[in-house]
Amino acid sequence: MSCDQVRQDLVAYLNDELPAQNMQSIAAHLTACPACAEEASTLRQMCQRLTEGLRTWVEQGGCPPEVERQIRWALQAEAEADRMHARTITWRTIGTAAAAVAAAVLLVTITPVGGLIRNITASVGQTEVVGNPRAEVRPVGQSLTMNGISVEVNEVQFTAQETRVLYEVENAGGVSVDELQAVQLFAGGAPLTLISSPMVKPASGGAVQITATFGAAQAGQPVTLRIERIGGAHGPWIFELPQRMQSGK
Amino acid sequence: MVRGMTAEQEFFALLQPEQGKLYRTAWAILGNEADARDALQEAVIRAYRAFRQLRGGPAAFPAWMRRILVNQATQILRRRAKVIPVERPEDLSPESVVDGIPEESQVWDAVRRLDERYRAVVVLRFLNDMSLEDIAQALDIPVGTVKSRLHVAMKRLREMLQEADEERRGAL
Repeated sequence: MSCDQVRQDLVAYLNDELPAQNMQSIAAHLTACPACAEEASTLRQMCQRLTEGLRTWVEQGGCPPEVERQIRWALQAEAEADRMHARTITWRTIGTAAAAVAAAVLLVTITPVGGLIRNITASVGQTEVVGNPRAEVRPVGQSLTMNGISVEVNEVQFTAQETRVLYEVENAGGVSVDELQAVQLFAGGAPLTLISSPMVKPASGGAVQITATFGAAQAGQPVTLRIERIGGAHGPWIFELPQRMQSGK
Repeated sequence: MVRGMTAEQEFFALLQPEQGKLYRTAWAILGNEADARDALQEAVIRAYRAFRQLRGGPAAFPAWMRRILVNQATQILRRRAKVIPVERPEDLSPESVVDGIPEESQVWDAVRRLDERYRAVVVLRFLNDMSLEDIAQALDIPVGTVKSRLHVAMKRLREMLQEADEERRGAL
């Protein structure tokens, strides 16, 4: 083996990553060639220095606060999507079970079999009700651009428990939209409690999608969304949203 | 699952102490912070989706999470290798050693100044302890190419670190 060939393989040799025959050839060469033996020794020290140096640098690292926030939001959005999915599945199950009950009732009407009814009722009773599929959905479609940032409100959803506002933020002015500050929803002039506002930031860029969930609004009250500040840009972006029409859901 | 905690809370509790290390690992592989941020976010979402499949309890989380991140980062490198290289500000770092770099950052300072092809193999080999074959697979290049890149990178790094050591000795 030539010195050049040996030196090409030295990193692999030092980590015992070569076939047995090559390992033996290089070992024999190093015994006979002081220059390559010296090279191997220096390289071993270099490998150790690189491993220790890189690991120390990584260990000392902190995550920038804006990255930490972005990750937290992405996780919340993912968890929220999971919950929504679970609700859909649950209601689909209930829907199927309800259809089965209806079919059973029909069957019982034709040929009364009490046992069948009891079984199906039990299966409906065991299904967990975790959401209200009959939310009052009001499309909005309003947008407002200030300081290079466009906010578009797409939809507001009302239920007996909460009010959800679905909106998008497009950053056209080079300002980070990672920070949405003071997002408030007013119903009849009073602020509703903010429950969560997970953000979905598409990897390909484009508008950031936010679903802000607040406490319940009463029917007939005027509803106003107010966003005070996005990143370093000041608003406020204010939207008059459709009112809740129905109560009691 | 830990009693009284949602999966999201439990995942975040395990992730939080690792975030800084994961971020720097992605940065070391990808060479710039913007890509590191994207890789970390994508990896976190992937890991969260697969969280229920984690075996070995909380102790297994750091290594498991790091594997997902390294996969994500090397995927970005493979994609990047297929497009025409665009000059990024991070690639235009000065060739000479920057004054006042603390000793513990000298290795990183030298590694980050390598061309991307060389930096990636060095980081995967020495930071992530990957075998030459695993690196070849991750970057979709032949093992021979990994060896030759490492050989060139080691020569270049030796020069840079020697230069840094000499400057350091001169400054003392």
